[in-house]
Order: sequence, then structure tokens, then C-alpha cells
Amino acid sequence: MKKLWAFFLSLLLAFSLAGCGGSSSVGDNSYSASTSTGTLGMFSLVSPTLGATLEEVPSFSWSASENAAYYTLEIASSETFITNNDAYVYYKHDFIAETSYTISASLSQKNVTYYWKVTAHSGSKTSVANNVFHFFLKSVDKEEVAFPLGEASDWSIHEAGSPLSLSIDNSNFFENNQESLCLKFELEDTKPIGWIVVTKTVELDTYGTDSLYLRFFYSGDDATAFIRLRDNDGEFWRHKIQLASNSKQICIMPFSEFTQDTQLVTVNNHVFDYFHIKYLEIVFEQTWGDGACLVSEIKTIKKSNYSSLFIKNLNFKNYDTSLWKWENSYNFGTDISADGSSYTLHYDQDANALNTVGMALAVR
Amino acid sequence: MPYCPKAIVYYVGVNDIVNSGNDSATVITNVEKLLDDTHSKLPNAHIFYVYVNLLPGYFLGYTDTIKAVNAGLSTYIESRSWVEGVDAGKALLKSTGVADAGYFRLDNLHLSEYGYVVWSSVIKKALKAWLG
Repeated sequence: MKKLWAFFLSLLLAFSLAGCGGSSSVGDNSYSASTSTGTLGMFSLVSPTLGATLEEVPSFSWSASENAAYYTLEIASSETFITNNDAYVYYKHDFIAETSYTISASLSQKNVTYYWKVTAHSGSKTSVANNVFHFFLKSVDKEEVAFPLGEASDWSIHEAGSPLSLSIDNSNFFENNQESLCLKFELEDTKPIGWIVVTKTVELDTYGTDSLYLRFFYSGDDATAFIRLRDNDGEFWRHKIQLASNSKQICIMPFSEFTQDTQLVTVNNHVFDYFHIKYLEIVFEQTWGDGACLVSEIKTIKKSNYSSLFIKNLNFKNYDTSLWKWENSYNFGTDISADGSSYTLHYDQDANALNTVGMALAVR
Repeated sequence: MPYCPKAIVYYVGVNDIVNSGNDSATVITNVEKLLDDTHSKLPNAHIFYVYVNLLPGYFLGYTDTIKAVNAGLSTYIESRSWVEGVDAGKALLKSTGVADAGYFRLDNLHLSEYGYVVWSSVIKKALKAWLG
């Protein structure tokens, strides 16, 4: 009974205090809070200024709040500061002792409005600045964005996939003065059919570019290869690589030709947000045995800058046939049609007696 | 002989095995004759003999013959100072000791372009070690 009286007494006292002290506080500034150690003073956001248009992520500054021990800065691409949603950017940094802060991370979405606010802290009390500012972050278009290969250890191998070894090849294999990532898999002794996924974190803005470019080489048993990208809102998009065994390929994959992976992966909006690539994957499926793959010079490009690599109509007459080379000195002639649109290969069993495995022609 | 090379590199024998179907003793005799003839004409040249690579897939059946040829030639080479064996094919093997098809063209006989990079790097290393 004694304890029950003490509880009612303390409840009455609490309501009385709230009635006199709390009302004046709300009337002066609805965002401040009183504490026994002093009131957190009102403060304002300073820079970037309200409604600014910027091309780079700025430093953030605000005025001091009296009695503040530290501040929290929050930046979001949603006005309501949505968190844990790949479709929106949300950034938070706690325990800032000063009244300014430069974030180390890039804000991945461009051409959107960002909202930011600051909260002052003193013990368990908090006070939010009396305004929320916003600024517009413009994209800076680029001609090319390189995805560094890094070290072999920067790539992760899917643990459920087939055995694979990764290394960095320094032999200038593609004659582009760049290293290559070498994937070696040995499936003949393990499974009849295998698959492999290697992943590298990219986190790069690719504004202005419209295609993925890479150098690619594959030799070995039959396989199917893809490039898979994770876009800004976490969706997966893939593009098949048409394997030309034992040939150095330049692959240019327009983002418009990527298709979405929907099985067991994030799907937000079926839109390929390729302006920011979170990570890149090299995927092999239906690998029937051993294989060696080299990948180099991964970058996003403007396809129009590489138009010289494409031809609309193949005309064999545009090529110097004296430079044609057949593997193993086989010769299938140079029978080109009058309009140059077709080339007939003549198989001479006597001249090509050892040709039991097919033929290959390199046109330069 | 128009040239006086410091070093000569031979990679011979594989076609004698898989195309001509010769047994290991015949191949060993033929290669030894080639090496002897070369040495008699160019006594100052150091000869590198690259052992026959093991082959994957379709040619796995030739593994024993290839190993017998390499073993026989190894014995011949070890007793002669002017010839040196280079086991470049070791770089093309999987951890199981079987030839890795990833380094070969689809015919499982000829090396792929990357296979040549791996294989030739061993030969270059041996050459550089000797030439200084």
C-alpha cells in the first residue's frame, strides 16, 4: 500500500512539471528540448544553400547549437528520409563534433533532389535543426568510366559454384598494356556440367555512357558466358557473350540490350538504372569441362565513339586477301562474289588432308 | 648450316605419337638421332628439348606413350651436357596431373593462344637462365 501511494505522488508531480515548464518551451521553439544540463539551442543549416544546384557532393555546414555534444547528419534522396530501400539513397553520419562535415561516400544517384538535416545531441536529448534543406545534384557526363580489375583477391568466387582459380595475368595478353583477370576452371574431374560466378564491387557512376566494353578470351570446352551487372537499385541485368573459342574478342554490350534477372534476386521497377553500377559479375553456365578465360579493360563507353569497329554491310572486296590467314596453312581460296557480299570456301581434300577439326579464317 | 646459334629449342615428337602412331621406342630413337645430328653440326650450340606435352580429352589415350617418350629422352639428356630438357608441359597440367583442356584449342592437340603464353613462359625462363 505504501508503494502505491508513492507511485501516485510521483505521477502527480510529473504532470505538474510538464504543465508549467513544457508549455513555454513549445511556445518558444517546438524543436528544442530542455535538459537538466541545459537547453539545446536552436540552430540552422547553412550550406549547401536551400535549392542549390551542384555537380559535386558538397561539404555540409550548420550553425552551432548551444550545449550540443555532437551532431548527426542525414542525407536522403527521399523527402521522408526512407531507409533500407535500394531505390533511394540514405546516408547518415553520427558523432560529428564540429559544425561542418564532408562525406567520404559518393551519393550514387544524380539528377535528383537530395534532402538533408542535422540533429544536435546532448546526453539523451536531441534537437533537430529548424529546417530541412535540399539541393539538386546534377550528373557529370563522361566519355568512359574504367572499372579497375584490382587484385585477384578483390574478386569473390561464388562458393556454391564449380572449382575455380583466379589470378592477374601480366603478360599483356591483349596487347593493350593492361592486366587481365584470368579465370581457370577444371570441371572434367568434378562434375559433368558446372557454373561459375565471380563478383567485383564497382560502385561507380557511369553517367553519359551507354554500353559496357571489355576484352575477352576463352579457350577450353563448351561453355556459356554472361556479364551480369547490379544496378543502382540492386537489380541484376545480364548480357550474353558470344564465345569465339581461342579468339581475342572486343565485346561491346549496349545497356539497352541487357535483360533483367528476376529469379531469386531483387526486382524493384524493371528499369535498368545503369547510371550507377554497384558490382559486376562474370558468369559461366553450362561449362562442360576445363576452361581458361581472360578479361581485360572493363569500362563503360559511349558506343558511338567506337563506331569504327562496326560495319553495316560486310564487303569482302574491302579486304586485302593477301593478308588472309588460315589456321595450319589450310587454303580455301579467295572466291569472292562480284558484289563482294559473299565468299565461298572451297574444300580441297588433297590440299587440306589434315583438316579433320574444321577451319578458321582471320580477316584483318 | 648458315647460322651459328647459341641455343636451339626443339619441340618435336608429338606428331610422331598421335599422327604416325609410332611406339615410344621409335619416337625416342628418332628424337635422339635429331639431337645427335644437330650437335654434330653445331657443337657449340646449347640445345633445349621441350618434353612432349600431355594432351587432354580425345588424346588422353596417348598419355602412357607420351610419358614413356619423355622418360626415355630424359635419361638420354641427363647424360649429355650440351642438351637440356625443359618440362614446359608441367604448367599445362591440372592438380590431378591431367592435361588442362583450358589451355588447348577445341582439337585438344594444339595449344590455345593463352596456352602458348603459359607454356612459352617456362621455355623463356629456361632460355634466359642459360643465356644470362
